[in-house]
Amino acid sequence: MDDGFALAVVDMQKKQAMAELRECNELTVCYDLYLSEQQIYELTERRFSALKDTGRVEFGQGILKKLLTAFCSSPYITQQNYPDTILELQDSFYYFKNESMEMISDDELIGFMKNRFDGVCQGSLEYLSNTTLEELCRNTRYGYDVDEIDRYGRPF
Amino acid sequence: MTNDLSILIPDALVAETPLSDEEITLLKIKLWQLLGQRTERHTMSDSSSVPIETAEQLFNSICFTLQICLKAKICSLSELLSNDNLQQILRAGQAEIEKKIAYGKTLLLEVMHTAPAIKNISYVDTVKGITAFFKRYDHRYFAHEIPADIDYQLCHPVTDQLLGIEYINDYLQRLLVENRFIGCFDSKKVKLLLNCYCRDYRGLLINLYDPVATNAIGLALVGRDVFALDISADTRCVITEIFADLSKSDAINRLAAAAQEVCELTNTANVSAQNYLKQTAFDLYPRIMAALPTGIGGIFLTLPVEV
Repeated sequence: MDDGFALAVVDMQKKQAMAELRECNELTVCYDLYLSEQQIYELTERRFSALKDTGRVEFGQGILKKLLTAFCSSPYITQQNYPDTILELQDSFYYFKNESMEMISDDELIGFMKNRFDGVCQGSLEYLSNTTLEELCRNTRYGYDVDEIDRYGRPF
Repeated sequence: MTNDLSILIPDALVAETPLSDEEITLLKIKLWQLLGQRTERHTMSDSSSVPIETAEQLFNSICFTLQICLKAKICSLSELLSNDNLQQILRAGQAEIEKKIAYGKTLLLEVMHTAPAIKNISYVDTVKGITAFFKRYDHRYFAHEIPADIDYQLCHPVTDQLLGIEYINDYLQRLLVENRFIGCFDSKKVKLLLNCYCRDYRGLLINLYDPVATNAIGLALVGRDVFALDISADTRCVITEIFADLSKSDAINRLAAAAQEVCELTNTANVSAQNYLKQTAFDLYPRIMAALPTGIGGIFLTLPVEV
């Protein structure tokens, strides 16, 4: 499709995404988490740059709403780190979506990320991206089972 | 993705019904929506995003299927613009493709039944590859793809503009024409001729039809027995003399007449098979003219004397 049309489509998607994020505030406010208009704008812009960087095309709702809904209950997210954490999580999501070679669904990946983030990673985004997600994608690619217990036999 | 809609709408149709900028934008919006729906179905709602390459392939498949609808006159360009439900038109296109797949399978069976008794590796592998194509072909999501290994070189190749099942069906039709023609001749003589044409005719990527058709046309040119497939040095001299004196248009007419005679002798009533042989005859003209100064022994071959 030509650039003019593509830009119009992206613009339309951005407006839709921003409206969805405003709706999410209603849900997250009970966890004392709130996104300002500027933060909503930044998150939306970052979504499209992340898609571009990872060479992906997104249709429909996108992933931000699902990420916010899943992570708002995390004990490691506070209003202070909320926007930055979601930005990082969004980038990681698209990156690892590619790395898993489309073999993990959106919900599974978000579920795994949340489980590890609250569990073994104890809120560390670096740990999440550099160890557990790498391991998940490697195991998925090779068809191995993903360990749901740590080295001491405890579930994550 | 492509910069225009030429992938969807054939140039001829655009010339027939030129689209305004608004109509093109409208069509693009509808295609974008359809692509979203198809992507969702492809990922079974598991993923909201797909790699650009996958989206491109899905888009090309949609365009290919809609183009089939336009070609088969299932819908017109104006209907494509006015219809709010492109899914419905897409389904009609998929049904049309299914008919083509069924036709392709019958063509493949015929090709297998008429295959020449010559074990050419690329021929055998290609038939196997096309058999696998019918198992691998995903006409719902990747209708434009040709998941088959096609090594065998046809005398007149299929145009690159054909995709998916259309390419395969055209290839099989051409292969069937070649098979039936070769089947009119004694297989022992065909093997001897191919051996003269290329020592390793079983292993190399050569066309089996071309040398047989060439010699048959050569023999028809001089009024000899085309089924002998043997062009002696004397016959080559006669052919050389004929072409040395003829103008281009006369030579072409002579070749066309020879091809027609071969068709009659081999009971080739099918018009496309006749045209196929005529095209082979026309292609001989530049080769003969180029070889005239040095001799046409490399074009019209002599069979070895049997011991």
